[in-house]
Amino acid sequence: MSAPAIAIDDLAKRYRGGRVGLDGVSLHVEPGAFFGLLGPNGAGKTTLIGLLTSLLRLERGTVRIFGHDVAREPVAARRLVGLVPQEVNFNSFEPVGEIIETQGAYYGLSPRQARRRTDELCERLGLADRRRQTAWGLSGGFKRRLLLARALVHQPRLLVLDEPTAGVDLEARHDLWTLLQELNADGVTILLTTHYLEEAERLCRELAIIDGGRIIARGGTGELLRGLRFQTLVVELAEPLARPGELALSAGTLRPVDAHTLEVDVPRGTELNPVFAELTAAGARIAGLREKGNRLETRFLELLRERGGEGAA
Amino acid sequence: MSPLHNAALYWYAWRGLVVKQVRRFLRGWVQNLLPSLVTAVLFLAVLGHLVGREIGTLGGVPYADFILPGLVMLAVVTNAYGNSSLALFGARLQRHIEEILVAPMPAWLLVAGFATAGVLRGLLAGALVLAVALPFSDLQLHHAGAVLGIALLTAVLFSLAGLINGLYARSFDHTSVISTFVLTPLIYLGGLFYPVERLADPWQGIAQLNPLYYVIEGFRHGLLGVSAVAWTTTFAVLAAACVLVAGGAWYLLAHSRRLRS
Repeated sequence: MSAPAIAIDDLAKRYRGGRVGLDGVSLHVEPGAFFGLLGPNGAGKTTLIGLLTSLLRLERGTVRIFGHDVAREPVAARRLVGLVPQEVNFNSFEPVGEIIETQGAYYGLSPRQARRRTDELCERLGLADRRRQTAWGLSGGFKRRLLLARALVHQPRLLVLDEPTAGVDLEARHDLWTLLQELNADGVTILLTTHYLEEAERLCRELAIIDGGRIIARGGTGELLRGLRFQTLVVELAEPLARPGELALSAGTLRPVDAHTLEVDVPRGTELNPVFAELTAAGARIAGLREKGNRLETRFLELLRERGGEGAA
Repeated sequence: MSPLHNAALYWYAWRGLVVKQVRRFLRGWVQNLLPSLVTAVLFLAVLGHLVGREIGTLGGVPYADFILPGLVMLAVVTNAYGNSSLALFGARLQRHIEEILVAPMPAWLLVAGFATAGVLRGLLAGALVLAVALPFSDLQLHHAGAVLGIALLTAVLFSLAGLINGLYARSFDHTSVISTFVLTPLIYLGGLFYPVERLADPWQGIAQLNPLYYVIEGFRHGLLGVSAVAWTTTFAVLAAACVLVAGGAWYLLAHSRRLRS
């Protein structure tokens, strides 16, 4: 049996001043997975990535990449990982092509191999026209592409992306999603952190939710979504209701948003026909219906609230 | 991975580090290399040529020749030191040090890569100073091996020292303060312009505590064949200091929380 792409056991990290970065995290990710790591700001996502990629010093626990311990076999482990960091961290005064080629050299590619890979990546990521341009002048979206090209230059088996689409326009985001799906289909294991939960739901087959330095939920994306307790429906009305504040539903709760819009919270799995019947009986003429927000976002917030409740208890 | 594969990986990684840094200092050659040349030309023209005519000879050589070894060493020391300290501090400040930290490179390779680039800049600056000095001098090279060896070891020593400075610097000021306020004065007071042996006591004894006195005198011996210190002594002391400082630089880069918190 092949070793897990990522095997993290009892990982803990405490920063100066006592702030807890991670508190006993264990996580195994199988080769070929498209894995999402979600959590609010300061939850420990970037700390976990820092320890995984050797940017941070390991204090307690173990991290193995395809069976190679990052503390005991750092060279073997690091060769297998490519990192797209959250913030731009290349030398902005260097030309795009040089940044990618130099990173290739750091991973042991000969100048010829590095140049060939840079050609391929510039072509694939739309950077070919900007290859000789200094990175300083690139737009935010192209800087993100450059970060990705740099991370892919040595053809890593594990690609770690820390909020890769932050500040990227919609078209570029969709292009990136397609590319990541292609890479994953080619066998590259992907670990993705993102604030766009739609992105995680669309791309990731497995998810973990981290908060306060601990994994609070873990499972397949579908499995996590099945844990949803409520869903919110947005009902658009053809005509305003006379007294929407007096309207009550037996199967859920209703909130008027404006004269033409209602929001209805119903337990997940509830049959919706009786809800519509009650609304119709109250004089509502339904012109449209949609689910509010993102399902994963709802589940994510539920889990964080549950954890907050436990903390308070 | 086989040892051969590792050797190839390290070779290309080291080469990548060096090429990146050399490109950096050559891109900014006006601010990186030109100041050393201008300083040397001014000293040689004004002190060596004009004032030197009044002084005549020192230690049996024309005054312009006498000050030349010190000027070459000044260029080597300040350029090697400045390159390493600025390269590492700049990489930390702009966070592109992370490109290196995630890569499969052990700490000794980082030291080797950064230090080599510093050595190359130091030697290039020294060679340029020597080249522009030729019109002012009728130099007869005494011992080429000693000249090259001492210049190389000096560049290695101060490049490594600059790396430690770059690791601990918190601002750009911190990368230049040692060079400006410690190294340059020590070179000036280490017998660049005058033979320390002519100083009265206790100044002669104090001047001989200055380590850069031995660097200048050893290089002078190799270049001109006249000196109070044999080049072999300088060579041995520099080699020992290089081993010591290289060990320190490796330890600090491998363990310092300024790179990996």
